[in-house]
Amino acid sequence: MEWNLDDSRPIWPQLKEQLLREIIAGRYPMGGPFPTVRDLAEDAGVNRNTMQRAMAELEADGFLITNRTAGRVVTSDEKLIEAMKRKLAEQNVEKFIGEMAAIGYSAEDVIEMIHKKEEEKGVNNK
Amino acid sequence: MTGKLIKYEFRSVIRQIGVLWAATPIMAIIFMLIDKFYMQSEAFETGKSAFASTLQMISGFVYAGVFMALIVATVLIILQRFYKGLLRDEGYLMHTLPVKPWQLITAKGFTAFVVVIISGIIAVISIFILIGVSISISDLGELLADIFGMYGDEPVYILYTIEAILLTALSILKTIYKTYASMSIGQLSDNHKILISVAAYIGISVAVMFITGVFLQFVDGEMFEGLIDYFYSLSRFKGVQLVVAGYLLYMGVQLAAFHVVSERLLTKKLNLD
Amino acid sequence: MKTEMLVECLDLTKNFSGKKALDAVNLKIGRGKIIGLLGPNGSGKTTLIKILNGLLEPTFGSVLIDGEKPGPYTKSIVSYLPDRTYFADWMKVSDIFDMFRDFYADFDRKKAEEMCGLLNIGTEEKIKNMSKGTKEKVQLILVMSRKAQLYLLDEPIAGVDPAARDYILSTIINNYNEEGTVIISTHLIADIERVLDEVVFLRNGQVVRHEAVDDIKEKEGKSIDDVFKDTFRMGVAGYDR
Repeated sequence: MEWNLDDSRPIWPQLKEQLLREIIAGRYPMGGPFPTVRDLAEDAGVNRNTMQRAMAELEADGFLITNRTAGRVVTSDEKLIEAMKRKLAEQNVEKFIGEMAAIGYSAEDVIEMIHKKEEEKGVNNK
Repeated sequence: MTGKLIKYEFRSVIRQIGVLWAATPIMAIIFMLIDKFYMQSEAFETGKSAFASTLQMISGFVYAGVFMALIVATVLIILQRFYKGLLRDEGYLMHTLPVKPWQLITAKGFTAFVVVIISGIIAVISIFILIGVSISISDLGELLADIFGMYGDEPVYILYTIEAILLTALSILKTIYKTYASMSIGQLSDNHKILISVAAYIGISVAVMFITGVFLQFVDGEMFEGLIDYFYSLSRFKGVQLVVAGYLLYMGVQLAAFHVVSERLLTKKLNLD
Repeated sequence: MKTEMLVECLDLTKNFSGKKALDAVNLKIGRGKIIGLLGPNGSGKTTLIKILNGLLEPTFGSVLIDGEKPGPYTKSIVSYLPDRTYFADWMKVSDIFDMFRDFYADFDRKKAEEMCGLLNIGTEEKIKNMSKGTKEKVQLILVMSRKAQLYLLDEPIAGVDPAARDYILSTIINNYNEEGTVIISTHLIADIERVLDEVVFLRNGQVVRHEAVDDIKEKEGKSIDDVFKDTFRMGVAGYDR
């Protein structure tokens, strides 16, 4: 996968965020196997301790479960993932609204602009 | 571990000098055969075949060349295996193996000693071939029988033979270790390792002569006369034994000193750049 | 033996003809970490590494690796990559493999052969005839095919092109023994900071900083590369040798 890492911040929280995003997006299906620390560390070009820490955090938050027989798998807890998805969406919206407000657009203006964009998209798609 | 080090020393040495070990006797045989053929041919009698005489000359030169190369290569390998192997870049490999410096030095010294012996034997064999000494198996058996017969009559010759071998071996080893000690001193220099090694070799030689001289100084005058008297009071056998023992000790002390100098310097003052 | 600290330096000092190459270094290094030994040229990185692997004797102070002074035991658990190639002229790849197998119990010959295979390096090739880059790769393969307690890598990425650098870094992080520690000395920090757990900054033979990478980033909000430049007050121009 594409890793987007910023060297001015600790690496492990960034790995955690990006892995979480992948889980929520359904790239790793619920209840399905999750790659090993080794493979992911190799892919991201980071050391295994760092990847281990990110995954341990995901485990502590319940998104990953270490299973004695199947190894590490993604949680089957739909509610948990749903809630996280919601939280992430809300965070994004909040951030977006904040940025728009900063350049002088009200929430109504923003909604109107979104509708307009959607309509344009619809026209273009036809 | 020392055994393993020796194993790789031999691998290295054989790849470097193995060809010369094989080539020297082969060239001797070729030269000998051509020479024999030429001498017996009519061309020699009439002196008309320029081709045959040229061939004889060329094979003679090639043999001489190979023989010289054998001697030069033997000396070079002794120096180079130690210098390049322990004091230059290859030293980064050798000095980080899980062994002690004395083991590295011993492996080099033992291998160098065996190389000198093998080169020596091969040189002698090639000369034998050249001068047409063809010892058949039965001749060889006769020779051995003679030698053992002599030993049987005069067992003291067994002792003399052993002493002669020991003295030769010890003096070869001592000379090898003298170059090791010199190079161990030379490597202390950052920029002139070889130059300082040569200077150290000369310095050590002078020092050994000086120390020997100082020792002999002690036994002058009366003491010297006393020693001479004592010497003459001994039987011939005892006299020879005394001289041999003294010489063995003289060599042994030098060998030990050169080893200790090399070992200490490589342990405490290794200067790989 | 397994002491708690893998490496312990106590007042470690090394003088070269009066000049202090290392000046009272006190350093403790744990197990299972990748550590960057960072400093400009002449700061004492190579001297420290040479003392750790027994190529130099300290003038003063002491160093213990797994509780022992440098010697045959520590050499059997330390895997060292010098900043030069150390092969003899007569060696084929298979000879040096034989040698490592004979001297290091932790050498995995099969792994080394596989890694050579991936690079199309034949084990019957004479090392003397290889390019400098290939020689360096063979040496890296030797070093990383050991299951060592301590890897000492002296400037492994100096003077190589980006493709070789990527190969070297991924070979290191994918092959080291996870119970062991890797110490990488370099002055090219931007290239490797992502793989480091801890950094040690050396200046004029002294340790001026030894800290976890995450702690530094958290505190200063900067990359290690930037922190390094601040610490040593070097412009970009003078930075790369």
